[in-house]
Amino acid sequence: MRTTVAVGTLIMKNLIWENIFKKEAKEQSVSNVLGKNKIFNTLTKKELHFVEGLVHERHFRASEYIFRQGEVGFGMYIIAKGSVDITVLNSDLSADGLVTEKREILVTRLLKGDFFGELALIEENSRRSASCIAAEDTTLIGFFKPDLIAITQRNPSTGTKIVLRLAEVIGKRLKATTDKISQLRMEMKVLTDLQKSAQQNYDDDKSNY
Amino acid sequence: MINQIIKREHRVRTISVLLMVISFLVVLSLNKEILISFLLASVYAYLLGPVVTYMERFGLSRSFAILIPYFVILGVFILIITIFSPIIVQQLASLQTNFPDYMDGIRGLLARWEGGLNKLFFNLYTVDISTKLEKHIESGVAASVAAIPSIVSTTLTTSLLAPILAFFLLLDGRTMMKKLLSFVPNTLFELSLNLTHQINEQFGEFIRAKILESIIVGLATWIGLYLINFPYSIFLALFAAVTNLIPYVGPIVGAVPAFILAAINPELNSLIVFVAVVYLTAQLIDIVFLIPVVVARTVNLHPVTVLLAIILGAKVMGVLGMLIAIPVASIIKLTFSTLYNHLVHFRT
Repeated sequence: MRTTVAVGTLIMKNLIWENIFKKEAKEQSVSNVLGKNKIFNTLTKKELHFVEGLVHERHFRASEYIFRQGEVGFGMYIIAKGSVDITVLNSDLSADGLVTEKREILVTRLLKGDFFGELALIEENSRRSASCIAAEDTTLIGFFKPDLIAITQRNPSTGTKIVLRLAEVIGKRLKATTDKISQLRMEMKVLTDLQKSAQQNYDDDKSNY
Repeated sequence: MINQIIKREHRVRTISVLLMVISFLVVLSLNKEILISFLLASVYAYLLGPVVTYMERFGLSRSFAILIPYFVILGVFILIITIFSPIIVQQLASLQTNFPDYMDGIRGLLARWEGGLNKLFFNLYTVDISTKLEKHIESGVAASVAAIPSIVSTTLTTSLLAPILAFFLLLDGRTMMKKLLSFVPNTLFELSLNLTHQINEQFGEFIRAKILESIIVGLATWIGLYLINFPYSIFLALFAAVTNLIPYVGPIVGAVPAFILAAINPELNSLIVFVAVVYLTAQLIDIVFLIPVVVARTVNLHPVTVLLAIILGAKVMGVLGMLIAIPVASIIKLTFSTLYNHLVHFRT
């Protein structure tokens, strides 16, 4: 009888310790991922713990869609484990300009620690500009508009820090896009100039003959 | 193969969530006391939610942020009871003393109507409302007296259970919703999260607006009745405030007891015009200021939909159904429009 009780107590103790460690390990992982992320890395430990209680951990199987292009999005995802493929639909056009076929083209592969979809946190009725598919079994941490609203209402200083970082990230992306457009315009101009001079040379050669 | 696993997981998750929601609703509907307690607790939670959120901004833990308004409300409640109890006791005692007179008054009023109607028909057809109505009134009173123990027990249970439930709704409501959402399949997760958020916001705004509207209408009625020195002003105002929660039908029902009192009591006959002015003024305040400014922006339902919802609510759940008809109708509308937008509009 005593042995049974002793074994029972041991199992209970083991279970309790096991559960605590599991919980701590899980909490650490979410907290760690958030702490390393660009949007949350200015938050204190206490603030991170507060945010951790609001975010959503989601698990995706390999080849499972996280969201599809054109859907309405409500927030961003941070990759805690695994990797994600970003794809866009490319339309093949016939000679008369009609869409004949839509093909999914891989744009990039995002890895652990990367994040995506942050524009949906700010934009009203934001449509996803690309599709996201789990490249392998993946764990994501979702942070959505209702969570951001809850943070700004319950803890405005934490909310301000997050919104400022979010603005910084979106601003940087906007600057990168503007730079890319400027670069493309320059390249277009060079190409147009080249085309013009080639045409000129061709015309000159033709008149000489 | 992997797609089949994903699809199966999706189905299992969808069924699990639906089962959880349905079993919760079944448990609620099985016991009227639990249902009323839960509804009242939700009302308390929606009323206190913004206050708790505001308190949290000062660095208080959520449980403290909930307990402080609880104690403040308890204090205010005790203060109100202390101030108003002599008036309430006096009005109750007067009602008890005058009740037989009022019954006689009703009989007299019916007899007068009967006489008038019989004269109108030249006594060819004898109208006999009083005997028939008296039977109804007697059985109604007997039923009310018989229902007193159950009403007292329901009131006691709900008044004790609702604040406790409200405390846990405020403390763990978000966590419970997060837990439920964790079972939602990935494809529907963002949609469900946004939908629950929108429903929550709309429900909260609607309840806060309606309660504010009722308090103001009740106060206006009380002040008016008090000024014209009409008896039982507190009870009549309280009744008007509660019935005002039901759109269109409520304000009319709320005014009936005062008009009956004025009609059957010879001393109050002269006040009937003033009573009408008081109730009309209260309704004017409601229609001109409160509905456009406070209530209209919370629910975007057509008046016909509102009326249909109230009739259906009354048919299914009686007075309680009439009270919850509008928020339930607005939730159904919001859910359908969001689902439609998600499934049809944005899939193109």
